[in-house]
Amino acid sequence: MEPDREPTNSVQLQDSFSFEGPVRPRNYTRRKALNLFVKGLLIVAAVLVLYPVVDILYLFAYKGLQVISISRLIETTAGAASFNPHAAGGLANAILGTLFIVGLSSMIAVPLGVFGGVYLAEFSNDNRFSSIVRFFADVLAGVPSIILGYVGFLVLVLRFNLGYSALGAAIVLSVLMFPYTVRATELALKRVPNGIKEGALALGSSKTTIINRLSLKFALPGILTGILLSLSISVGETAPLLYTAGFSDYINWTACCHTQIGYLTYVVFTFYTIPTTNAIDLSYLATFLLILIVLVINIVARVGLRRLSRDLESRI
Amino acid sequence: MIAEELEQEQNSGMTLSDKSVKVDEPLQPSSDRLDSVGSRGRIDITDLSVFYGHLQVLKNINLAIEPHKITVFMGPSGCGKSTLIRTLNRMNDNVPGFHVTGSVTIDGVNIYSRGVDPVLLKLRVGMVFQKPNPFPLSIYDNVCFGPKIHKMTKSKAEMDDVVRVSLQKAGLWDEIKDRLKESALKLSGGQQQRLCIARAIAVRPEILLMDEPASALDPGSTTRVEDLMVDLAASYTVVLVTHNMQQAARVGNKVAFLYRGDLVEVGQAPNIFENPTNPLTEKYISGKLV
Amino acid sequence: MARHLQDTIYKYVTMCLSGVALALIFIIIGVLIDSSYPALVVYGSKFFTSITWNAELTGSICYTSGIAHMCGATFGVLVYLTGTLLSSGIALLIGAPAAVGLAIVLAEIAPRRLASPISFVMELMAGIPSVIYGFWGILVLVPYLKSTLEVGLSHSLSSVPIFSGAVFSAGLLASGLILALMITPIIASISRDAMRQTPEGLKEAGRALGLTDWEITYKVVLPYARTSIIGSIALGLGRALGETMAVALVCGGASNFLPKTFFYPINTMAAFIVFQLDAAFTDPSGMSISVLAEMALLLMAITMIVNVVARLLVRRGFVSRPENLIQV
Repeated sequence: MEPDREPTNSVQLQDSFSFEGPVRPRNYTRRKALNLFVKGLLIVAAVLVLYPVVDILYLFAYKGLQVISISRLIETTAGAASFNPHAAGGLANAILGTLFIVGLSSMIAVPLGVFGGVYLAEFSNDNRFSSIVRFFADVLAGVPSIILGYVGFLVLVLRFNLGYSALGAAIVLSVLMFPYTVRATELALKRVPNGIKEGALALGSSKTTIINRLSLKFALPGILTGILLSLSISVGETAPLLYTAGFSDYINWTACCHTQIGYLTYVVFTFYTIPTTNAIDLSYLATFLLILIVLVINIVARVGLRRLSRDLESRI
Repeated sequence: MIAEELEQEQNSGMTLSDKSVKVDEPLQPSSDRLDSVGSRGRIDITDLSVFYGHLQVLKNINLAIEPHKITVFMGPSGCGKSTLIRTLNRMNDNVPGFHVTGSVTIDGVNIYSRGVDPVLLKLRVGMVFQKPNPFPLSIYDNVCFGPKIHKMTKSKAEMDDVVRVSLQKAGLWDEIKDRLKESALKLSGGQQQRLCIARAIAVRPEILLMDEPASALDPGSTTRVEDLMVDLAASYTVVLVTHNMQQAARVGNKVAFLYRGDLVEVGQAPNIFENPTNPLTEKYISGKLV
Repeated sequence: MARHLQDTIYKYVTMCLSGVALALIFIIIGVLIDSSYPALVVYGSKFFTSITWNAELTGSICYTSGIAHMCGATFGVLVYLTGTLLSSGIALLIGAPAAVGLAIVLAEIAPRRLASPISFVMELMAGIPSVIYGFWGILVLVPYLKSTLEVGLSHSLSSVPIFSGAVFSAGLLASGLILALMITPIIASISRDAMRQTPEGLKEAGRALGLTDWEITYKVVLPYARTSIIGSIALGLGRALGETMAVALVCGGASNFLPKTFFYPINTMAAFIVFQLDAAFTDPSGMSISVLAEMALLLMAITMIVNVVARLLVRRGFVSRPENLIQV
């Protein structure tokens, strides 16, 4: 017992010494219980929140593997609405359409975005203009995709009279990809060690040469990561395409104009409501393929490219 | 009594109401308290080895740390002195792969035994860190943070006294008594470190661990903190980690020299510097060991 | 000299390219204002106060101030505005605490070895297309909600109007839950990163004072990361407000009535624009296109305000790795 501690220190004293003993605060049992309770609650919340993703992956992997077949990958959706259970019908037009639109949109967004990012990282010295640009790029990334689609419809489909087309869809998707590409390039370039650039500068290289030959090379994994992830978003977009690409059951499209084009997300969105087994199976298959693409892109971007960038960094 | 002199010195510089003097009493390191806890806060380290995963960072350490003395762990960086001090209040428990063999006992109880709650252990073993780490709160709230969360006081007035006395003991009261509500982040580095000491002693530990507390401070602040450590040793068991030999010599009662996880030599403060028995210690003291 | 010129050209060309972001925002807003002008003139403030949306596509064409529109048509955004705000509100109420909880688990509770696979699942969650969430909603969530709610809340359910086909009897609660799931990775990843930036010194100070793990989180980590967490929640709100496909599939497609219970079918502005694709083409007066533009403009204004506030809250320069950009 410590007489000098007893009077004002409202902690319980015990007669025999242990660590639970002389300085165990009165509220400690409650606090310890609260600690365990909250931890438990948080873990339960985390599991509940993550469970649907696992369920989504499991459900569509299961369904997808049930319905996948060669013919469904090489035929088009033209026969899908038939009530004949042995009817033909596949996703070839949608798969190719998705790849075509997304490929076209990255051909627009990547050069614009990468060189826009070069300015922010290498030339702007973080001036006022660059902070405005950064801000607007972030705001642009937050614009709902349906608005991009509707504006694309107003401008491209109606005003420029492109009609539904792969080009219009690609332009809208490139607006979606652009801000990610700009910011990813900027971040990746800023992570390139200054020593490299300074070394080259000391050797008398021009800034243009340094950026193109050195900085961009070292920043490549980071830039690719950003591009890939924005591609994965584009692949999964539906709303902007409904208003710009239309849909076609055939592989008859050209880039432009007034030719509708098929894509996977449309199949997911609408085929489920067609009351034939074949159409419903195709919407499962389309979902499965989309998840597969997103999964592969994410793994490549996050695991593969991170390793590549670590290799590059270790060589410095 | 050094501590009492300090108390008086500080008391003379401030206006005290009768009430606060009374409530003040229990926290004072009175001679009564010193006698009664004369044997409290003794640490015995026996055959202690510490591992991070497969990496052994401390090898078979045996050391007794006595109450009311300043025990210094000294050695070149990477010698394990920081790990050792953090092992004394189980701060390393959260490091993945951390485990110990051997024992650390405080007043006869092995702190790594099953029944010991590492959270409660910290109430007996306070700690001050290398970099001043005040919370982004007011000076007052920093000091009362511990007592408040542990519900150590019954009233606002009592809390005011805890804060005041803690700040007095940390030698900071006179400088900041008029701006207790100001952000702690506005204080200078040296003041912040003394605030962290006040915060640590506000929960009334018996042992105070100081992990290079002056290494981030300017020379003036360092001197103040060193003086403070000597004062604190009157009330607490003080364990100090430093890579600064002069500091070890100035404040240490007992000095332990560690090198690459081994406890090379332990000695009383003047002796170990004047007549080191181990050639490694001699090399370190003469500055030939980095 | 030539080299200097080359650098200068490079600088200004890239500067223009980076300015595209700025231009695009102005183009989007400009086009929407321009296109919604006829609707503003003809319908004025009635657009915001009416709950009826009736395009009268088969009627005849009338003129107001020289602008063509269908006689007797009414366009009220109120049902869709309410649906948008309510579903996003429910999403925040459910999603924000759950997401911050997940962030705490990732940053503070789970050991690193467990935290990185969980983080990967969370990142995947952000990557799953909206339409797939909607599809899953129809297949799993809505039937589940129906069956459990029927057991537990049958008296409440009796007031739910049945929609065509059991599968589509979706509504406000289903929309809110789906949106909660979709905003979780945004909130959780930013919050997690913000919490991980808490200086180790502050956490150690708390630990050394005898705080329990939860007290360290609550008293030290959460206050430190507070601004970013609030910002991330605002970003999540921005996402929920504009989310289209998932909601389009589970909202129940309501029109011309306001929800009275959690189980009522609703509609949101974003989803409704999708549903009105046909009307945009079949309205002989072209007014539907203008009214939808006005709705898009309203949605744009709301999401932009929310996003701007969010960006100001989430600390600048916070995102340091390109792969974290997508969630942010």
